[in-house]
Amino acid sequence: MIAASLVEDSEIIKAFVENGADRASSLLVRKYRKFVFATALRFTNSYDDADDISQESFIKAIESIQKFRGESSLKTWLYRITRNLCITQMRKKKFYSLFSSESDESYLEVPMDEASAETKIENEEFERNFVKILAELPEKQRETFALRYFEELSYDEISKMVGVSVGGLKANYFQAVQKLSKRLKME
Amino acid sequence: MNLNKSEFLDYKLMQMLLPDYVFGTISEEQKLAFENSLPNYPDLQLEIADVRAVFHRVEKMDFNKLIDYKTKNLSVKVNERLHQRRESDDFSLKLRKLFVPAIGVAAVAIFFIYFSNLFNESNEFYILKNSDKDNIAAVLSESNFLDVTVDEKTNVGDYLSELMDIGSLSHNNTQIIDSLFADSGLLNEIDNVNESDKQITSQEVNNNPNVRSDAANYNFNEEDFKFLLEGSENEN
Repeated sequence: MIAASLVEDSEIIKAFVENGADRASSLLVRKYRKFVFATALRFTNSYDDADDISQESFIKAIESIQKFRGESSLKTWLYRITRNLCITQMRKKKFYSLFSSESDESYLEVPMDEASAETKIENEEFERNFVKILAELPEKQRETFALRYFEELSYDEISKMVGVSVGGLKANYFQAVQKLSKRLKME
Repeated sequence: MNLNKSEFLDYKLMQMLLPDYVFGTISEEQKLAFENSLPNYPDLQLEIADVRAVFHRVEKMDFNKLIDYKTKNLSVKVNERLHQRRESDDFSLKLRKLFVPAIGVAAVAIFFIYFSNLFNESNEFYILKNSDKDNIAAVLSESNFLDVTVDEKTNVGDYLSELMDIGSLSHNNTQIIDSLFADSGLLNEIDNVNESDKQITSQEVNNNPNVRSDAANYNFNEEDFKFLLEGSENEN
């Protein structure tokens, strides 16, 4: 079996047309699961919410795949779907939080029991700080950093995703790296 | 971005290139230009050292492994959710497919039951289905809101006029007229009407198995006859 990450977008679209949704949707999810989950996680800062939004994003994409016109990559399209769902979710949470004093237990939670045995406590602390500081960055800086650093996307691709010029992205990237570096150095 | 290796990059441009330079995602041309300009910006040299130190640790973090672990069943979850949604949609569709006609049938049934009850309770017109003229007369005379005196001189046109006035005759016209043809002296009146009406009436008579040639001796006039024909035509 070919690794899902190596499957071209055009093959996934073709699979939707020729083989029906089941196989094609598996290909789509397997190829982009980490990307969609990571995107959702950056917006929600909650593993549970990220998991839920990831599922919803894929379902929305699968159900409206016929609307995908190929003007952007599937990754860009999925990013937009995920981002929109995250924003909707955040608005809902913000609204409901007005009527509830309960705190979200899974917020920024790094599950200790799921960390590998070899991971040192200080590394976990550093990781937690990094995630926290990253979450505190302005959205454009955070997204530019994540898409460039983690997803290794080109500036052109990121520009299509977040709707910022390449020059603006480079400035955002520098700002994000500088802030992360300074804050983490202080911790 | 076109960079001249001999030119020094300005501070802003250096800042914009810094992350890509540190993380090794810069082009060779940009790298050379960046390195040529870097001695002019000592604060950026410090910045680069800080970023390298911090991101050396960040690069050790296994985010990918964590995300991989968190999403390993995502495909299964999405498929399950899709199937649940489809089943739910199918059920709703089936429900709609069954529900709408069922409502229609129920509405029609209720309509008929309701009106047949009204019909039965008020006038007992169901008797007319298989009745003869005497039954019609009996029904009319027993009706709560009709004041009809039935005797041998009463003409059929009057009976029917009364029935029409009640407003419930139309759907029973055929049965009534059949009954009247069967047991009345209608056939005796054929000679008194014009040719066209005769033909229509003959057709009615021939098409009706219940018509008896020895119909009862009621006195029909031409007006009654025409009334019956009109009723029959309207029904058709």
